[in-house]
Amino acid sequence: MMPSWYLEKPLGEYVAAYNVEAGNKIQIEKAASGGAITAFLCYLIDHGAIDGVIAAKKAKGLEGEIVVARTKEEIISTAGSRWQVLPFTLKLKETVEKENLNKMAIVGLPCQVNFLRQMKTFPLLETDFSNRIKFLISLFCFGTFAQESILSYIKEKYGMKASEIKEVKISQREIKFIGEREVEVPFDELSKYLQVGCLLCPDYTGIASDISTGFVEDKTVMIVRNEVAEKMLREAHEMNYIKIEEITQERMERIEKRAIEKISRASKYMAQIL
Amino acid sequence: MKLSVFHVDMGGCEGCSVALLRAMATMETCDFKSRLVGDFEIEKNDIVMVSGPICLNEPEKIELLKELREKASVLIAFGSCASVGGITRYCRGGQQPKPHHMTFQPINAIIDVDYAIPGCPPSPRMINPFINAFITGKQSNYMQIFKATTKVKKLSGFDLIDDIILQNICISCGACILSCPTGAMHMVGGKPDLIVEKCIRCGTCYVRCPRASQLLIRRYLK
Repeated sequence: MMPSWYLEKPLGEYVAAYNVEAGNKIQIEKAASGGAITAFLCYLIDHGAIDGVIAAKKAKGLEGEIVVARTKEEIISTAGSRWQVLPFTLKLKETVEKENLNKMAIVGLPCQVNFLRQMKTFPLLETDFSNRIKFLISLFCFGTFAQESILSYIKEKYGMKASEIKEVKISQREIKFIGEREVEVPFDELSKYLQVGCLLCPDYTGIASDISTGFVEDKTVMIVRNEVAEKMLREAHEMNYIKIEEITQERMERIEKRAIEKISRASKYMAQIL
Repeated sequence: MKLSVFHVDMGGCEGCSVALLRAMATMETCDFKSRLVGDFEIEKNDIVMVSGPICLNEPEKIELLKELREKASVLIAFGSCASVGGITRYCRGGQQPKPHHMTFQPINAIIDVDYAIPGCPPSPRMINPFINAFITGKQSNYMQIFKATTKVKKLSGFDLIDDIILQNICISCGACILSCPTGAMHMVGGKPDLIVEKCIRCGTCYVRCPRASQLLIRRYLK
């Protein structure tokens, strides 16, 4: 969707934005970026605001899967970033029904948060678990990669086989493939392997979420979109789960610039498709 | 004054009617009348909801539809059959007098529709938020999707495959799989695939797909 106000408000409606890092209360080792999201989710589950989290977990190798985490330990085990879109499938719906989860937080990409919000606003199906979703957390996303093509590219050019890669770290400038050795590739070199569908997407932060979060330079940023989420975040801060501080104007402008970049890219590719 | 909402069913399986009747009990913010529970006259109405497809062999139904359109400020095609044809797209004849299988059409074949809500049937839970949007005047962006849906006469898993997956703009988010009421969508090699025998052409997957809904709006509203 690309409503007219997209360009006027590239980050969507929000009430506040913070730099966030994990507090002393939770020990997280392998989080992607300081573990702020994981720590916040732990706060939510400890205080009964939610009874489960739907998030991505590493299955084997680079493959991931969507899992339901019900305890703090399970949440911590899902920490760490994923490098592809993981599809929500029927198995997830079954799990939600079976485990009888009624207050869930879902961590997803802007596209997923978008359809989940649609599902929550207008549940078209009797089986939509929309009223069980309490929190939608979106991760900043500049596009996801076509997995197979990128793996064969890395193999051809850098001689690193898919089976050697243990982990992938993505930042705005480069992508690191980590195994026994480390291959660092500039983002621009791989940008042609972005999924075409992602090139059409105008949403960088996930405007339909309750909280949008991402790693900007060296800090986790959270954009809070409603009062309830704001209150939760402040409470988590007071309880020492996370540490929040006001974000600088400069950093905010940087995020906005990135969002506008994605919107103009989407307009360009949309014109080609139509 | 309360918003007047009037419902008329054109026929079909009555799933949509049941959904509306179930929602009726909770619709306190409007004055809801359904032809299912009484022989109400057609008066001027703020919102008219039509469920079921239109049979082109029935002149009196066509006249009824035109009259409803004239007297409605907002006309909503409720459910897949009324909005995009739904399962009646597969209807075959055999009855006497024999209807041709293309005789059933979504109601936008006859009249202009303001909003088309696919779903087989749409859940009762979605009716209140939808009607409330007209009362409060706060329209969610997602209503644009239902506005754009009025411009198409078919929407289904087949269209999703053609427009999104074969065009290679699918991002594998899983929206279609979570939205299919019959389990016709499944993942094959990381991309959704359609089990054609299971698709009832309800169009839910199409309006839920982040890319397809974006395409709908761009194609028909802008």
